[in-house]
Amino acid sequence: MADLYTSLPDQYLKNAPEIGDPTTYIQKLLLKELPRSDSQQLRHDLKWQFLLDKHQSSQKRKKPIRKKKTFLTRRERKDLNILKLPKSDWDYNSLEGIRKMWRQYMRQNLELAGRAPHCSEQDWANFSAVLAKSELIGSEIKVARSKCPSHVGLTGTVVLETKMTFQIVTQQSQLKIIPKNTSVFEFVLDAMKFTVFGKHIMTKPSERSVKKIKSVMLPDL
Amino acid sequence: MESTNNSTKIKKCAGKDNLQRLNYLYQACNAIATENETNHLASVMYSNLAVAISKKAVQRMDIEVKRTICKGCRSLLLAGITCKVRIKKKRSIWTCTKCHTAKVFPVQCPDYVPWNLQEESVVETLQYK
Ligand SMILES: [Zn+2]
Repeated sequence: MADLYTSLPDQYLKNAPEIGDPTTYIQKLLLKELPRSDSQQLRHDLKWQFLLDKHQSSQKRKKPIRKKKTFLTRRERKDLNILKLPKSDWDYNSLEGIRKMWRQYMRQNLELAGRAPHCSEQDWANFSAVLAKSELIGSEIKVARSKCPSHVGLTGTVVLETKMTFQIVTQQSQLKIIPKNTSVFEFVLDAMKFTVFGKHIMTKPSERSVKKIKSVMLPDL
Repeated sequence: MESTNNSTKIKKCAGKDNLQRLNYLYQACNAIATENETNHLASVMYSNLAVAISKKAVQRMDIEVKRTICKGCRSLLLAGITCKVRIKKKRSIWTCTKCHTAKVFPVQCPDYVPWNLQEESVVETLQYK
């Protein structure tokens, strides 16, 4: 750091003109060079101090606190970037906690006694209704069949469910958006494998727990 | 329900699956809220979904849960991380750093306990394994 403040080497200083006190030299120079109208107020103007960070502080002005109107309109939500998930910075390993919690939740929700009821049993309709109403965020999902060939075989953790799509994070930590309409999904819980037709769960995730579900639906793809 | 009574049928409470779903979403929201910016945005989605479900299914959220969710952007309020807590004029003000919506609680009356936290409000407790 000491090198910053050493004076110039002698070979350059030899040719430099003598100036004396730098402030008086600059004042003299300004008096000589400036037009007459400006130079009259020179002594007054030199006392001005310019704050270089003045411009910055005006940008950082605080936003007012909202107390009365609390809800946000859609445009305000869009400006805050909370309507969409970003495509970058995902980490598959950091979602491990959610996957574990989902397994726990699903076991509790389905009240499994070791096995799922067979489709001829009485419990079957009840069981499938519970399954259709349960939450899928956090599950490890696989696309078994799809109309788009490049989607087949994709596996990943569901991070968001919308009316028409699942958004999953694959093991390469990429966000993929898969339409429900044309796909069949599989997921595994303990020793059981569930197959879900995406077409049958095409409702808003918030409405799914309330809406009536048709008991008989024809599987077609 | 205790393990000895396993053979008898478990008493069901109304809207149990909705309550479980809300519980799971709130916990998932808490788990990933502070990891990084992307996970935080996902957690905003989950708490938003939880509020939407509780409105649709007419299942009221507990007062302790409700107070930790911002009314504007519906993100989780963690003191010092996603919200600013100040005491001004005998009121504690929780300001969300995202949308600057404030929640104001009076600190003047410490005797007041909300109805949900009083002991008389609890009629029955059901335990599930
Ligand atoms: Zn907010």
